[in-house]
Amino acid sequence: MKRLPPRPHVPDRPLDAVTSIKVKLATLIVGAVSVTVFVFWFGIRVLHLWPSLAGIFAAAVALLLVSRLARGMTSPLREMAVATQEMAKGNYDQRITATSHDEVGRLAVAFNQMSAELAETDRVRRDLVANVSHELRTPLTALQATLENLVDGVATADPTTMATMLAQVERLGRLVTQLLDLSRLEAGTVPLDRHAFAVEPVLAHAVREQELTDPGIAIEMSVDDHDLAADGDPERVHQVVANLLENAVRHSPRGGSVQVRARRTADTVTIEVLDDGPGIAAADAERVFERFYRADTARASSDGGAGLGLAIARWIVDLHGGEIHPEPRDPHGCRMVVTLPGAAPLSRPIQEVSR
Amino acid sequence: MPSPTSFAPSARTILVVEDEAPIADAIAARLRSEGYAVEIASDGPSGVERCNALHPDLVVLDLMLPGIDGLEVCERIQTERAVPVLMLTARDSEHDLLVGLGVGADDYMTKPFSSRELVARIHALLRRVERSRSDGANAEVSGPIHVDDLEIDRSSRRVLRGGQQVHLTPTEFDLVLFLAETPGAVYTREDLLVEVWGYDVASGLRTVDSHVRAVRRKLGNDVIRTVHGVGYALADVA
Repeated sequence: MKRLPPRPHVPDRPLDAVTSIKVKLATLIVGAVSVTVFVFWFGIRVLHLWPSLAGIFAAAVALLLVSRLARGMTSPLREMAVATQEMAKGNYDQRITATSHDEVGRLAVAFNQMSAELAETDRVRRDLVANVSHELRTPLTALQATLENLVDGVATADPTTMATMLAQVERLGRLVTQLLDLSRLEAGTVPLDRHAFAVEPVLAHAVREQELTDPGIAIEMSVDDHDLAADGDPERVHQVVANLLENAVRHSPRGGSVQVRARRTADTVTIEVLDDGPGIAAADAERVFERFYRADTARASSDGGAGLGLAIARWIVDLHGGEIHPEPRDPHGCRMVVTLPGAAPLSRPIQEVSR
Repeated sequence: MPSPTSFAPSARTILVVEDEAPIADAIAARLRSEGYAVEIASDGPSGVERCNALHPDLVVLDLMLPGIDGLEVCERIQTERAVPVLMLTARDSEHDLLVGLGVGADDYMTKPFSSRELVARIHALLRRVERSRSDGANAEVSGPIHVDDLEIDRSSRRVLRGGQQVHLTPTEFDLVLFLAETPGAVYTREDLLVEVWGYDVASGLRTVDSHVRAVRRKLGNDVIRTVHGVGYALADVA
């Protein structure tokens, strides 16, 4: 959350420093009554005015004092009423002058924080829509252009053309699946099916799948203990490892090597996925987990990743109360480190993962 | 399917700058079938380099490119030589559009688009460039047009405002020239689309608005007047 600037002192609002609206009202009433009594007494005794004239005079002075002291007491409420209507229309850059220290002032500060957060949420939502539409449009464009060519007889339906179109359809399908996954994770509608599970079979399954989709790069797996167990939802952890492996393979040079390791550290389980690709710059270490963020724009679009895999991985790991972060490798490459809560070794050596 | 009629496109070269290979290949196949010679560049720097080496008659340019993005590519290739640019964009926010046109794209299409319409627009764009070149050649005797403090020279395709030369893209020049030929006359956006852009598809109406804004930004707000509910006219403040 953004920090709000310190409250400016507005000299026109004499009661701003008072921290309670009750004290403010009491000050106001006591002040008004004493001034009235004093002016009335002064008018009759010193100036020898008629009582009615002294009364009018006293009332005028009291009114003046009240209007002077009460300045700024209710204006934030009026501002809030106007700002609320503006925000209902979708205009989130509304801010209230919050200078008083009483309940109204605190409400105004809270109001400003709320509108700042709403503005940020709105910006994120707009960015997301723009990114999703871009990611959807690109494969659609390729499909439409190719299909039009086929229909108009410009191209022939040879296997290469069909394979190109299939790849675009797969890309669309993957994007839709990932978006749904992410939105379900964020909404919290998929509860974790959490229990102690053996880590090795989960890793082995993910490695096998990745090698099937991309046989070009071999993945080396090492688990320091066959009984290594973690506490979590094995299906979701499988998804994390699969996403990390997919990224690692995609960023590996031709003939590069990808490794996945798992070991026990105190009462946690650490899973690492290593590649010798270009690696992630320190400045991007946090941003790679943002939706649609790509560290390397130069090779982003052609390699098929939409930039959602790491966002999904981060959500799943967070749901487990674990941690995920990238580390650089020497001379180059990336080590993705995932830490999950550990569990006591299982009595059954192998627990099959169902997908 | 549109087919070339009024001119022979066989000698034309089109450079396609697009990083998505399937899209670039499909566009190239389509344009080749229409008789154009097509070259593909898959990133910004090679796009600029191919353009300078090849001197294409038209460039189809993707906005989001690796290396340097489409806007900068557009700017760089226009500094060497005025070449018509048709920009492809996957973002249709007004801002992108305006900046794109400000740096000299003559037309834009939002993905996903129909490649049939792409071909139609390329034909129209090339025809327009052709026509304005021959207009320029014929106009040498007639001399420049003067409207207020605006001077439009058809043969050199230059515009001066208050004696200062202002750089306009080919499309912006054609728009100003068309309006200046009948100062004060009001044209609808549909009229302008047919007369200046050379096509009668209503999907380009926003193109007109964007170019009007670009011209106003360069020549001053008072040059083109908006006639509410009708269209645009070149300001003729007598």
